[in-house]
Amino acid sequence: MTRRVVVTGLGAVCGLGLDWQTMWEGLCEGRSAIRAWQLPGIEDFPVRYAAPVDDEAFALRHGVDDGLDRPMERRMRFGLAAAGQALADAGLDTAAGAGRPVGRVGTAVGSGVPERDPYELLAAFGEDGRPSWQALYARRAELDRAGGLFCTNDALATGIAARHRLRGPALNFSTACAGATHAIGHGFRMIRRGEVDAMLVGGADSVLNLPTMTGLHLLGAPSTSELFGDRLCRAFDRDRSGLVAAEGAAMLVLESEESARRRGAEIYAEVAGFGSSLDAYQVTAPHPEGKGAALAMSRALADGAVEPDEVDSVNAHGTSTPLNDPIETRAIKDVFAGGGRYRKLAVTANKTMLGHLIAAAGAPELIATVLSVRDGIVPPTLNLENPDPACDLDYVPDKARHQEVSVAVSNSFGFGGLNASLVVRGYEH
Amino acid sequence: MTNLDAVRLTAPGLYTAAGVDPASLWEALVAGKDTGRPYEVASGPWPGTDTVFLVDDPDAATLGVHRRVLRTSEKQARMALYGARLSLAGPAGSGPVGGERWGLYLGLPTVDEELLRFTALDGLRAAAGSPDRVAALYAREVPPFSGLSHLNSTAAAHISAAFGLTGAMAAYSPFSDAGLEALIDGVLSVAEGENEAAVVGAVSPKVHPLLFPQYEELGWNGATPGEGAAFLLAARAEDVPVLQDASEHGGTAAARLAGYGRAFGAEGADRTAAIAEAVHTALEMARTDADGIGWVLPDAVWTTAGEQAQRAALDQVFAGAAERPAVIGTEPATGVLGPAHPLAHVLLALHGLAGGRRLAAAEGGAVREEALPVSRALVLACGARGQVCAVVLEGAGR
Repeated sequence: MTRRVVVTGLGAVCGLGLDWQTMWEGLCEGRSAIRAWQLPGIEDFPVRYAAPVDDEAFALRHGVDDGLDRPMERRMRFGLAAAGQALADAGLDTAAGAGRPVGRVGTAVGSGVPERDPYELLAAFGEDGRPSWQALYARRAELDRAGGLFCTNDALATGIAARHRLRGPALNFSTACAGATHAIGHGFRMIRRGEVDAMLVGGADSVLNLPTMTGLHLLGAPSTSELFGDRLCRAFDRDRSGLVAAEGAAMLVLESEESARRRGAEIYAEVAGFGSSLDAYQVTAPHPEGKGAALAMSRALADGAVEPDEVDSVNAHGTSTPLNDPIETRAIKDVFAGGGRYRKLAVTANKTMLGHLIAAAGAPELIATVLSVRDGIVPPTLNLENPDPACDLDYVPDKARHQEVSVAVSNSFGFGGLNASLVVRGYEH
Repeated sequence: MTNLDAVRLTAPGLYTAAGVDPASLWEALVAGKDTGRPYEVASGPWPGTDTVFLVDDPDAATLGVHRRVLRTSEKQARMALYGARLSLAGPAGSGPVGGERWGLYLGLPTVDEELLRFTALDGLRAAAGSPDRVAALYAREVPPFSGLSHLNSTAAAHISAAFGLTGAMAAYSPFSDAGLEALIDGVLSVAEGENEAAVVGAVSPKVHPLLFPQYEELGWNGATPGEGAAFLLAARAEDVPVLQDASEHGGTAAARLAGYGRAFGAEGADRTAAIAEAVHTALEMARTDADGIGWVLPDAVWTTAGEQAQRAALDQVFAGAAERPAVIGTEPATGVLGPAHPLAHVLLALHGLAGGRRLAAAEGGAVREEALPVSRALVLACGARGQVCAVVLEGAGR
């Protein structure tokens, strides 16, 4: 069985807004969620810019009524909120009892690494004043139940499934910054081959905590520059100096065309193809020729039976890191070399406005890709003031562009060369 | 189009406390061999777990990699890399391994490793009132590559780099269902033409003191943890005769994934129903029923709720069967292996299917070997929070 797969629901929680409409409006207006930031109480942490979620606004919108005010990991809180939005948007909010019946629905998410409590090991001090594992076990009741030690990676997918009574498979993907894109791609495939009728897919992550940010900083991943203020994320610019971390979640409801039409659901766009690859190069750097990135894009196009010259836009991984941007540029040029198609592509880097949501990054970027196709708008790449000579594509600088987008590709490339791409097409019955 | 019959499962790579191949595990189970090792950290506070099923941490020479790989990996990534190496030793002996059509599908636990060593904890305690000092301590004491070594997917990067795998991939986490998800999607990637071959594997968490409070919070039933990795190769049926040449290197006759099912049930009756549904889906896809299963390898479920649900579901599924198939797994010789557990079961089942044998419970907790009446085995995986996967394996002639 091979079925067409369409998008019927969207949900987002990110620095740009607490729903997909606000996020999309912000992207189209070229607003950035990146701002001066510091870890709570820490003035000297070298990373000084990020794109956090507005906690006060979130609490007002999703607090007590949604049950999201209880202690839980931030990625969990944002993910549950975005999932509820997406299911309600699709008219499938079974938790609220208002959903219209649909067949088998599963869940697939990418949700990053657990948010560890930086102080958890203080519980290892025993009465003798020395740390031991035995003492930690004796004091285990003091450990933070909402922290990463107990909030294992499957908590989000299964939490969503339990909350919304989704009985299909519940999967968590662990492919670093490509996690959400892998989740979406595999959810798409499960519907296409007839395993399920619909999937709630996407990602949630928050790295804005001391243990995780320390790990990222020691790798040299986030920018520590203060030269550009909140214009720090400079994908494809020669002055780019590293990623700008963000947090949040985005979820989509994917559904078989047959199911969506039977329900009379609004269809935003069609997911046409998915491709993945490995770099087989280094853990610490992408393949210098962009081999893995090109393979993921080529496979996604082939999977969707889409020719490169049908593609109008690429939502780039575009991290603003010294290595990614020229390598991704090269990969795009390789894939779209035929007839010089790459010269006609509108390439956009949403991370210049959203920041890098790490494992979740592919989800808001796919929502932007879907809406780009639906609305005929390509959001801009901000802060591209001094283009890198090695980055010589049309990156839609500064302002959104109104243009027809029939087919678009969205890229996510994870640490260690774990790559994934999706192809989105305008829906026509 | 999906054609499961076009795919064969071969080239086992198994690393557990019982040894480095399915035959050793089989023999250990039949002989009732004691494969546990003392675990001093756990003695005292964790009754019954002063012995666990540990494996040695593979060094760079064993792994065939440069020493720098050790800096960006934790023990579980190294166990995974070793499992992959054991699996691919056979195919590598008979032809080229890797390339653009060789994919990788992994089941991975979370890396439950402390970021600060105990030697830094006095400093943490002294700095606790000052977030800036705590941040400075973290910057000083956290290992420089912890951002990679604590990232479970780094195992995929190491394996792909070691074997030149650039095909389609995915990695799932963190519990036993992740292992069977990897198998199902790895096989599908070959069946649907995306890969010519897919390395499929899963690894256990490193046995670490932080695991115990985590397991306890999730409803731990006292099952003994173990370490290990289980890998195999899903390859196109037409390529398997070549790969079969590897049998003398520890391989086994090829079998196939005949059916699979996956579902979710949060708790109680829902969880039981989800397990039964996944099994029925797998049986239906395999065009068989409960009577067509000769051996059931249930998950080594380590939560009380999961254990009850699995038992109830199997009772339901096999209620009408003429004869209840043997139900036994590897736990007595390996402990609970997390994502690697169901794949270790898959490898044990493939070994049995190849020889027309199965393992069955004997008196006094012993294990005996007997003829396999039907050349099909059912392997289950039940994640700690209600995730379920079921696969039916079938012996396949060349």
